[in-house]
Amino acid sequence: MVNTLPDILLELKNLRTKFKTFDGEVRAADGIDLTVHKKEVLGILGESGCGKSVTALSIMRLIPSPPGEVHADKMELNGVELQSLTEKQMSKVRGNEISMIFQESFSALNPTFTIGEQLIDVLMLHQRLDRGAAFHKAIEALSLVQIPAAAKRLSDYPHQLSGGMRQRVMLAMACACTPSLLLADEPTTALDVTIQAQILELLRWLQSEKKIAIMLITHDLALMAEIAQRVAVLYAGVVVENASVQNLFTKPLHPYTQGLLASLPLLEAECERLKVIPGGVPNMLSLPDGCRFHPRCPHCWQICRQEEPPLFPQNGSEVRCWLFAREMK
Amino acid sequence: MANRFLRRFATLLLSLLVISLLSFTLIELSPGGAMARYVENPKMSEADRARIAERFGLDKPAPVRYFIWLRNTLQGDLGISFMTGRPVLTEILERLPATLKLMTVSFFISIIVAIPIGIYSATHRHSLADNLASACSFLGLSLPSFWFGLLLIYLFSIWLGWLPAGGMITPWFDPAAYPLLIRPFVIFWEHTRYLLMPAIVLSLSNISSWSRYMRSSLLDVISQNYIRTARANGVPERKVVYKYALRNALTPLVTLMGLDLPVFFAGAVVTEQIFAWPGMGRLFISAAGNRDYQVLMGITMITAVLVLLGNLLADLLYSILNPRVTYEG
Repeated sequence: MVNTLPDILLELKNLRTKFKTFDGEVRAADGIDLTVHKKEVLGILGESGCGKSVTALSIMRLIPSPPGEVHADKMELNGVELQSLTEKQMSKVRGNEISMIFQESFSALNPTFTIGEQLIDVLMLHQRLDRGAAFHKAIEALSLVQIPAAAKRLSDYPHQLSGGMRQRVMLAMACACTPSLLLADEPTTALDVTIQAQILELLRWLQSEKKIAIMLITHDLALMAEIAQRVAVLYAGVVVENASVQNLFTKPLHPYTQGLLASLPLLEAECERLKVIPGGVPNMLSLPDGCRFHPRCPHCWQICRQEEPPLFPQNGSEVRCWLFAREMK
Repeated sequence: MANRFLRRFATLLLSLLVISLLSFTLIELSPGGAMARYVENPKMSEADRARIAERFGLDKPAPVRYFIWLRNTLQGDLGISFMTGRPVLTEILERLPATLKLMTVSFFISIIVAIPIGIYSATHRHSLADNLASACSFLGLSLPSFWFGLLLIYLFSIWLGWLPAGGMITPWFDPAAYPLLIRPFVIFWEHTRYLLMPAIVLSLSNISSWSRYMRSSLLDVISQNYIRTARANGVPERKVVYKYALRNALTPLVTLMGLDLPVFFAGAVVTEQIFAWPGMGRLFISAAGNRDYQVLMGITMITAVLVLLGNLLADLLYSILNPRVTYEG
């Protein structure tokens, strides 16, 4: 399965991102391993607070420190260890090789500068263009994300645009320099459904035509099924399941993933109560011993309370659950 | 836009009317009265006093006098000083330039010192320099200006003998006595050495409050999502702070500066008294001591006009800095 996508773009090993708070240390990412291959869409699935955004921001090296503290055994983009770069080198990587878009399209653009000013700045920074050339490139970038009358829009301020437009402008800024990896942090969450579909279409186009690999962070299973090739399911700061999108939806392995899928409302089903995963997301200040999911798990047994499971390979997927330990032998 | 400023102008006129009524009432209510200084004079008969009162129109009841004052003022006549017998407007206009010179210089000193301190404190939060700036601004806010002024005079005029203790210019200063080549420098220094101490005293509290305000405002902006976007697009930190964050952080400061104009006028009254600066503030104090009510009213109104115009200017500047404002009018 892994061999069908041979070119590794981003390799993340044992990412640990901690925040020092007054109440104690929060381990927002607690040993996350991820691999993104060239030109693929990797979905990161998980509930709020499970470490999705923190992982993306850690890769961008945008975790504010203090209180944040990021350490990974390996964080390589195209074979370059990102952690060893100086801040200056890193700012050349950002926007040029890795870009990120955010869910808050209302607040993610600077209200006191025009769209053009912000876009042209990014282009001039990374592509050594003069203002005139950057201006034309900016129009091109806006047209790429299907903004009508792009030249006119350049002199608009963010508050003059709709939410969907702003998200497109963000995409245009992020992809203006054709990065090899785009981190999309819930890019459609704040948008209405028709706009969501358009943004999704754009992301798909960027991936297939511009060959931009996308790490799509979402809690939206439908969106994931639409666009991702592989999915990593996160729970309380660790990856609990790595699978192809087909495997994930047809044969979910981890009890948490199964619970997530079971909680989806189905159109053809009888009108009954939606299934929920009992319990809530664990307090990140005091994680349970053993498997982090065991207090909510229907299959919990002795060892789950005592020891944290490693990732077990299973039918081309990987799953962090003791249920699959026997099959390893 | 035009409508908005018409409305602002109407409010300005109304404010002036209310200010005039309030200050007239307050002056009327204060003990003594304009005739007080003649009461103890043994060489004056009752008839003399009555004649004086009649001449200045003080024999009429207060409400009548207010309307007479209002009518004359609207025609540009602020009345006659009880003390000198000269027109109030002439007296004020003689003193106004000195006050404006002192205030303008203090205003720019405040801006030039406070903004860099604020920026440095915000970008080096909790550093030694930040803590020092914080301690100094508490000190600066708590030092009474009359005490601080006397301290400076003691240090630089009496002890070190570097700067003159008071006044605005040496009466026998003659630029023609210096060679043409160095004459501009001599003139500059002659003005500066008299200005330096009063300007510093007058700036002290504003430097303190504005630098703290700049710090918190910039910190607030730096934590915004659009700053994260700029960083994620690879904008280097210097540019993030000085271009993208600064404009947003300056907008509330501009409003504060407008609101702080009365502080300058109030401060000038004390500062001018300490440094024998021949401005409006000293005129005000001597007028208050002499119960020269026409002059008091005149200065109050001129100050009110200047403060309100300053606020209008701050508003205008605010809408330039913040493009969203114009659309709310």
